[in-house]
Amino acid sequence: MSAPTPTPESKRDFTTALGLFIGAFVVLFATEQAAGFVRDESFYFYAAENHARWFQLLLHSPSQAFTDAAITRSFDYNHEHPALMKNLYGLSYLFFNETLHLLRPAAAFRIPAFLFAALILPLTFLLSKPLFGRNAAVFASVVWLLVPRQFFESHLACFDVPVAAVWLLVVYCFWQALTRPRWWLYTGLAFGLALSTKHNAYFIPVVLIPFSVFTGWRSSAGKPGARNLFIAINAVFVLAAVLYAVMVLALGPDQFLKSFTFPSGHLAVFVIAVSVGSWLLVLLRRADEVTFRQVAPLVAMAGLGPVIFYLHWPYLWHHPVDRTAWYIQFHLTHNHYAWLYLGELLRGPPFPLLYVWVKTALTVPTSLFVPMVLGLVWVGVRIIRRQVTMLEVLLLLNALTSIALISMPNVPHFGGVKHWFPSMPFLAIFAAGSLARGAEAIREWLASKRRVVSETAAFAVLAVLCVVPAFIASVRIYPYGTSAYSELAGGLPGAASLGMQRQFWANNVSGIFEWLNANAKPGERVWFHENHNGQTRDLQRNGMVRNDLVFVNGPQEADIVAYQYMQEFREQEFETWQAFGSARPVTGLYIDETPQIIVYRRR
Amino acid sequence: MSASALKSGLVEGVVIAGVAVACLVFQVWLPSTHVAEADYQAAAQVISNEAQRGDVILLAPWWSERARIFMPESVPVTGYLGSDRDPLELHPRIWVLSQPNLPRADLSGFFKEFEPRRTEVGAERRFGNLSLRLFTNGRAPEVRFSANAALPTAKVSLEARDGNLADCQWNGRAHRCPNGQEVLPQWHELKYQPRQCLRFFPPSGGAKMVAQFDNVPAADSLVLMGGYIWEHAVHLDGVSQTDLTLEVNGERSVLSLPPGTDGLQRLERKSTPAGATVRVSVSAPNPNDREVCFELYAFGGVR
Repeated sequence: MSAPTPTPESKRDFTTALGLFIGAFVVLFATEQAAGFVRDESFYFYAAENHARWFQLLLHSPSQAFTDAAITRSFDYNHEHPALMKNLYGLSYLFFNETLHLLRPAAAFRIPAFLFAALILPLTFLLSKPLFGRNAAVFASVVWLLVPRQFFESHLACFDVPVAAVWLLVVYCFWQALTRPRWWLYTGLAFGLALSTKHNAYFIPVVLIPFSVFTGWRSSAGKPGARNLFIAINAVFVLAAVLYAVMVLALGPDQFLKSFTFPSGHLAVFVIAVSVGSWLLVLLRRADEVTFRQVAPLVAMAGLGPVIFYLHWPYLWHHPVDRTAWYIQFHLTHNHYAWLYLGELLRGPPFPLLYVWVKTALTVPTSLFVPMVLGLVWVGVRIIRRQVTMLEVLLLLNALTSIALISMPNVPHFGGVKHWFPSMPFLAIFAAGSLARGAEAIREWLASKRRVVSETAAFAVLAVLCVVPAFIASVRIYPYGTSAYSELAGGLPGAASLGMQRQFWANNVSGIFEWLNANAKPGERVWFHENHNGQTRDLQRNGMVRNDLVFVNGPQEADIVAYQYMQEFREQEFETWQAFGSARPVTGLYIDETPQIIVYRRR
Repeated sequence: MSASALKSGLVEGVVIAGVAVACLVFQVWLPSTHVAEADYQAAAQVISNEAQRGDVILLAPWWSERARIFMPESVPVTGYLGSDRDPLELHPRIWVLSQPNLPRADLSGFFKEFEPRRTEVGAERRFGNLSLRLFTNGRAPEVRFSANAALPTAKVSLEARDGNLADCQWNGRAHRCPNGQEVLPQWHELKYQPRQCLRFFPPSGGAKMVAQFDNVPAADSLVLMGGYIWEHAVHLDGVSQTDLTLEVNGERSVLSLPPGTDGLQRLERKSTPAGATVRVSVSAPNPNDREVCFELYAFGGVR
């Protein structure tokens, strides 16, 4: 493997990256209004507003704001996710809606989500340019917005896209840190942000630690002082991990958590490990700057990550350990939701091993998916031929980690493709590489036939060919992004025939708002199947559904039912037939003929 | 670029370009598979004019339910995951409303399941992207008795473990029992399939819910169909087996529903004498989460 050689960005790179960032933000902002509210988003809107109230309290009455009671009042709701994004959503709402009255509440909440999603483009560009050049890097970056499910979810005030962005940010900082000063610190800060965004971040070190150990070992070869310090630093953190494991085994998990107080031996292990590790790192820097740069990002991640995680989330301030433990435990024991896959309703583990790959193949536009696969094959061949570079390995590991994690048969498999979003920008980079190689070969072949085509023109033709079908698919399906299926699936109708989940998250109901607002009688009682009260509140608050309509919780009380077609809920549609005395809908949302939302009206 | 790199690069480029062009063609073509409202209405008009009592409309692919909006209410429409194999035994004629142009429509697969013992009547009619074909259903015997239809005259009661009976009262809509339960026809899901079946939940305390039908006509076969409703079928923890018992003039057969039994189950008795007294009962050691419904038919020969 060749040595890591990140190149500093030129002014032109910076301008391109900035252009991609601004362009993505503008596109997301301009298309925001059509996106309905998914189930989770309304929970997060509500939580974000609670967080915003706490920030107001902090401004007006700081001593009160720091009490556990005030913190719990504002942060207890939805504490299964860290606070960073909800803090930002809440502050954005305060600023753009309540203070400036510039945006409707949903748009105001969503602004930070657009910023994080937009960040994916320049980061992808900067990571792929050293490998495949500028044209390919631009292509790799825009792929994010050309995958319909990613485009849709980039609009949402949720966490799946932001965590993909910060994952990418950590990897970018880490890569830079291998050769540039100060970036080890940025890596630590970025990892802190990642931990504060979503729990996927816990798996970032799984990729980076082996990589760092390998490069550190290699760079310290022939430098005894540096090698010893390198080993010592690793030993400190391994020892700390072993000590924690022994404590858990000796005390039992419950007693371990109960006794993890401030101050305690448990905390001392962390403080000592980080302190000693940092001190050794200082010595290593004096001994050998190159080896230092391989190790420093991880030490910074180990030290700064937990500290930033703790500081950003007031909910942890008075009960850091038990509340963190609850948070981790929640995700370790997350319940399973029914999920239709190839004609079978999956309700629990073990899930099919190939689920993630099949789902990716059936949802990513095929004109983008095929280059991704070709790109992976290419890097595989380079590994076999021992031609692979460190950056290629780093990107490959990151492309596969989230996919491998979710592929484990016991991991919950709901939520479409969003749980492995962090893999997607890396796959896009390999897709771009495939296009670059194809375009270059075509150009050379044409040149051998005495037809001169520039490298840019050859690449542009291939890129446009790949982009146009994906763009058409995105435009046609938006804002029903959770229903998007690729050409390989046969589109949404093909996916329906294959027995795939046609939608989830209950936002497709936005497709019947025009009919409902025009046809419902004043004060009619409406049941939006699978929508909770927070969603209906937000729909009315944002002017998407008439305020005179009364939302109820079942067909027996309703005059109008909007049923969300999902296999696991058919009984609720038949309850509607029973309650209304008819199996005949009055209208609905049918995308490419597939039923999504079916509307019944009491006669 | 080396010769091998050129060759592999060309392959990559050609594959990508070929796939991209195919995707483009697909995206441009897909909207042409949609069905115009006027086509649904034209098909509905034909069915409305020509339908006979007992007809059913079967959708292919099974999920193409937009048709429900337009079809005449007098003719039931069916289409659910698995409906290709449904014998539709209550329906002597079947209108197959299909969309052959949809991607992965696989109508040959559909007709392979559908066609045995069915005979096409007349020719296929096309309405844009819709195809309408009429079949007689050789899998539909004559229905001589239906528990759904006979429910008002049935005697429904709770039978305690010691054999004591507590009658349920018919109120014009349902039999209302002393334990608050009702027995009445309702739409329910049994593994995606919509069935209009008799709600029949097992009572607690080791008791049975019993429905007795007198003077059931002679039949070539008496068929009890039932099962757990909706997701109650897939619950496994803390639930017990449920028994649906069929008694014909005192002769018993049991349809057992162990936990995890999903979908419509079937118990068939050959040749029932005229004027039989038929009792259906349900019991479960632990009635919690054991929501069951049943249908009972006396069938004559195949028409």
